Amino acid sequence: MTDGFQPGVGNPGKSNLRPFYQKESFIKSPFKLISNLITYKYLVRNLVNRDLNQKYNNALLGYVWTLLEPALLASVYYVLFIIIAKHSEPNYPMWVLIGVIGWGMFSRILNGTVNSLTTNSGMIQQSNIPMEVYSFSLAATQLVITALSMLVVVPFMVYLEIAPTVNLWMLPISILSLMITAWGFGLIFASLNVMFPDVAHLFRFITKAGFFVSPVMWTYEMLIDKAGSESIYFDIAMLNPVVVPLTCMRHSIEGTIPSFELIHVIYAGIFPIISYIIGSIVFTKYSRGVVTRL
Amino acid sequence: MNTPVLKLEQVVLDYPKKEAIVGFFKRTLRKILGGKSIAPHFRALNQIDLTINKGEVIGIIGRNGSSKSTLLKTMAGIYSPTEGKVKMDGDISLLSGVGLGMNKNLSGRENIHLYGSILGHSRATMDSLTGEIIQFSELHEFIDEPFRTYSSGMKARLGISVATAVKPDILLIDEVLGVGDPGFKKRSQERIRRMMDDSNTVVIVSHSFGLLKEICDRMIMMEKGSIKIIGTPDDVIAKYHEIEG
Repeated sequence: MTDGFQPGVGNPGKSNLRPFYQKESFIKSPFKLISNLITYKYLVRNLVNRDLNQKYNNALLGYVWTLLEPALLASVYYVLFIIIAKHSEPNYPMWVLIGVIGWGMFSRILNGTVNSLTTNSGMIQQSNIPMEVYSFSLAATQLVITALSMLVVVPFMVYLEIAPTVNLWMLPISILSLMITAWGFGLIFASLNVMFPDVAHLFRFITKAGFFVSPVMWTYEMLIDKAGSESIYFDIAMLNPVVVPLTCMRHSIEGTIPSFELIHVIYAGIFPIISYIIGSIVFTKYSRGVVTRL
Repeated sequence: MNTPVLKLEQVVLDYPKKEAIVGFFKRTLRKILGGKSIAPHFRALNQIDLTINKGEVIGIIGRNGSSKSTLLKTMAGIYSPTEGKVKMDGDISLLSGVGLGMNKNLSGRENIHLYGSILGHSRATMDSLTGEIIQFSELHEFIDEPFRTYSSGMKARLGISVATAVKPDILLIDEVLGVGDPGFKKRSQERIRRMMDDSNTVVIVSHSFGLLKEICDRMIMMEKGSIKIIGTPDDVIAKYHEIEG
């Protein structure tokens, strides 16, 4: 077999050959993911633009659907809850609405990220762009949709005579932490889902069941009321990483400060960071290897 | 001057066979029990050793299923080899399925930017190239129309125009030259030849031997995942005909 290059012949000293995927310490993964996303920021932008266009372009009401969808959903849950619980808190419809928006974003990003390699298999097999781009652009799209959806809260605030306060600072932070938790957690399982599609089924179940164990139709305050802060059920419920951010979203709109125990605030603050770190390490290590399985 | 820009060392690539979770446990159980193991994969590339130098144009031929495209995707870094190493120097671009990711609801202009960014170009690069791309594709009056209104020839023309607008250091082409009407086909081949002339390294998979014979410095014939013959275009084509009859 003839081979154009032999060591010692020609100009081997000038060679700058480097392996495609350098073996790097896993500690670098969280930073590598971010630097890849910065390199491909224009692609992320275009993909977000494409997805938003895809979602609303052909619809008669276009972007109105971002507002209509959570509002319709919330009104269904509200009616349901009134029938079951005979609850009559004036702010309750707005609480449900905020819960629906926050939880909806969380579950769509989580499911979307877990499925991100399988749904984009066509592009992944024909292009060597870093694969975290697909799930991140999905998460960014959901972030835009959520930000627009939050506008539907404004008429409720007017009706309930709630004036915006400085506590609104909690809103973007809670939404971001929900996004990072969902994305990071999804990244852990995205590669595994290529090998075993059962993972996607499992996550579809988790997000369906998660709706009921997350404060969407109920609130943190109701939980303390019914279960009491000493009960084991309360402790178990607080393991759910979305309880604190969803509650913070509500309070930021109402202009109040939620009364959490310090440990729960720390847990809620650390959870997205740990999810992202583990997610980026697992994703960097395994995602390229499963491409041949797509 | 022989400066290697792409080097494959003992590259082996296995395609795993699809298996449900049950299959996985079955196989693991058998392994533990020490029974006869079931091969869980199909060997697509077998011990590939290849060095490509700067400025070379390499043609790859072979029958369907001889792993030509797999070889190209391994060179592009899409597949990471099961064993062995792929090393490169410079940016690599793979043209395969031109118009990748283009969206039917976006306009032609938006699709230029989308496809360009998929190929890894920055916003500034795409802004400066858009005019030239539109001109080459001859789609002036349609460029702001939705992509779904384009004919398939027009779609391909736009794809080729974007794909060939920027010169990567190493260009990998997978059977994409035969699109458009004869006029456009001729011009796009000329444009790709010009890309090649600019001392870019090109690896091209094609069935059109006429074109390959004309442009290639070396040719490779693949058979069942291995390099069967490597040499000058005349030699390789002659041997190919000899083998295939």
